[in-house]
Amino acid sequence: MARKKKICMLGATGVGKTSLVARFVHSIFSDAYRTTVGVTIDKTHVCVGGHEVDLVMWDLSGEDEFQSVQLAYLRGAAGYLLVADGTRRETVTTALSLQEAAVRVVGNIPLVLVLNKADASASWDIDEDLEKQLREKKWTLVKTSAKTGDGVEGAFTALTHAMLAADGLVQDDEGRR
Amino acid sequence: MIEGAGILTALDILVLERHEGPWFVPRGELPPWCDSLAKGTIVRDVPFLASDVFPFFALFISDAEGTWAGQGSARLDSGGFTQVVDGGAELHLVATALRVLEADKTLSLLVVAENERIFREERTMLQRARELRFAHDALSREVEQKEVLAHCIVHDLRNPLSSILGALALLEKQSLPASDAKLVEVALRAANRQDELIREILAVFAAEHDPAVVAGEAPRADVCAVVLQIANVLAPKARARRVELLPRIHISHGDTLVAGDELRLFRVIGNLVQNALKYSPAAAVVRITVDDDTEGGGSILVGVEDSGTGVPAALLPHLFRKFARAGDGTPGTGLGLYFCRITIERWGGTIGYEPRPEGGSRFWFRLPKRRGIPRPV
Repeated sequence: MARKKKICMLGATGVGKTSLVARFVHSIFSDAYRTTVGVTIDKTHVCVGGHEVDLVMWDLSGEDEFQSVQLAYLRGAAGYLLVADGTRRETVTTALSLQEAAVRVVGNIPLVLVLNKADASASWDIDEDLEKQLREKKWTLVKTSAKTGDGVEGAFTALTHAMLAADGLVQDDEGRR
Repeated sequence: MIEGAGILTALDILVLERHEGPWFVPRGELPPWCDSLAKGTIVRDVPFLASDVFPFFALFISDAEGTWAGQGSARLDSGGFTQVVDGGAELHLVATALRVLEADKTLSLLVVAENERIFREERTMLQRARELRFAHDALSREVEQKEVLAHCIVHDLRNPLSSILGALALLEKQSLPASDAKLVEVALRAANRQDELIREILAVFAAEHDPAVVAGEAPRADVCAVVLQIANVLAPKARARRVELLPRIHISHGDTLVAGDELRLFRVIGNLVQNALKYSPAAAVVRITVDDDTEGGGSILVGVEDSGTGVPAALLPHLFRKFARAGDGTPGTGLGLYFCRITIERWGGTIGYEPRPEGGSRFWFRLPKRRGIPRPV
């Protein structure tokens, strides 16, 4: 029987949280921006390290001046993807402050830091210094493109792996970091 | 069985009666929107695990426990949520936990309704606001990139100009025929003017892209030292125009430090004094005053007064904006006062203009004082 794990998508507005879920679960991508209101819940099934896992994905509305993230929705989550837009440096700052807020709600549960829109290399806004600072946090960092699909499965798999490792079901794989 | 469940069903509402723990029993007819859920997941009068079908309820049920236990309000609304159903379609729902007294029984109910219209309105509004924000941010980034490009171009223009200035300065020292010497003089004056314009543009760029000063971290400048330096440097220019340049300092030495750095403060006061000289008639007086600010406590007030024609009324609303020009044919970039404003404001100060009752202009700015020991003047 598959284990059920709740995961959350957390990040600033327009970083591509919904697109990452759509790419991962339904293998689709749309260039048109469609804002998330409140929370959208989707499900999928994965197999990581020989373990069957039902992922229940809570895609939370982005943080901006128009709407605050409802961090209470994090309750019961086993992990989360912390998503930033690699072409907008300021979304990394938002992600970092959301992470601090998330720790206050759910403690130090597994997370994967995702720098999305990696296909837009011409407007990439994350320099080596910032990337180095982020890597020093010892979180798994994955560059993704919901548009091309690059890194998307890797990000969700890394999070699932980290959640299973937190349960002692697989070995914590430092090499992923 | 719930009395009136049929009414709720007619309203397209799914009524769930709590069975035990997270198990609920659907009562009445199922609303049509339930058809989009996986077949057989909800069957009338058959208990089912609500959080399996609606994962959102994993949280909401625990929030609603108090309501069902009779603590606090008899109803609790969930707020809207979206559930992706088979095929990727979205179901926009809202739930309400109710405690209802029916006959001699208390019912714990979970009422689920489609939230399509309100959801769409809210999404349209949010989407529009966010799209505008993205468009604004993208435009700002583009403008910034173009400004950086323009800055690089202007900066690069200075390199060959330095060589031209050096060559002309050497040429000027040669014993040239009078007509040639005159040409060199004209060329040197034009090249110096161009160099000054480029410096002004670069100074504006630097001021625009400086981060705003954080209180307590601002650099310090000795305002009196800067004023006296300017009076010295511009004295020949004033004499050439037969204008008297008078610094008037009314604060004691030791209390003369303000927020700002001296190079830029020199440029700010220098701009104001040069404007005053430019617009002053012959035999006039230009005063640079430095006073303790009586209005803004803890500030120093600097004024530059002339007896020129004053600022035309039409220019007043735009006086400190970029490219504001008097339109009287006087040469300039229209960046000088703009530079003064953004520089003073970044240091936490204010700047302004007022006509003098006796005629002429008075430009002023105030800057917060800083503690420290000023260098000897």
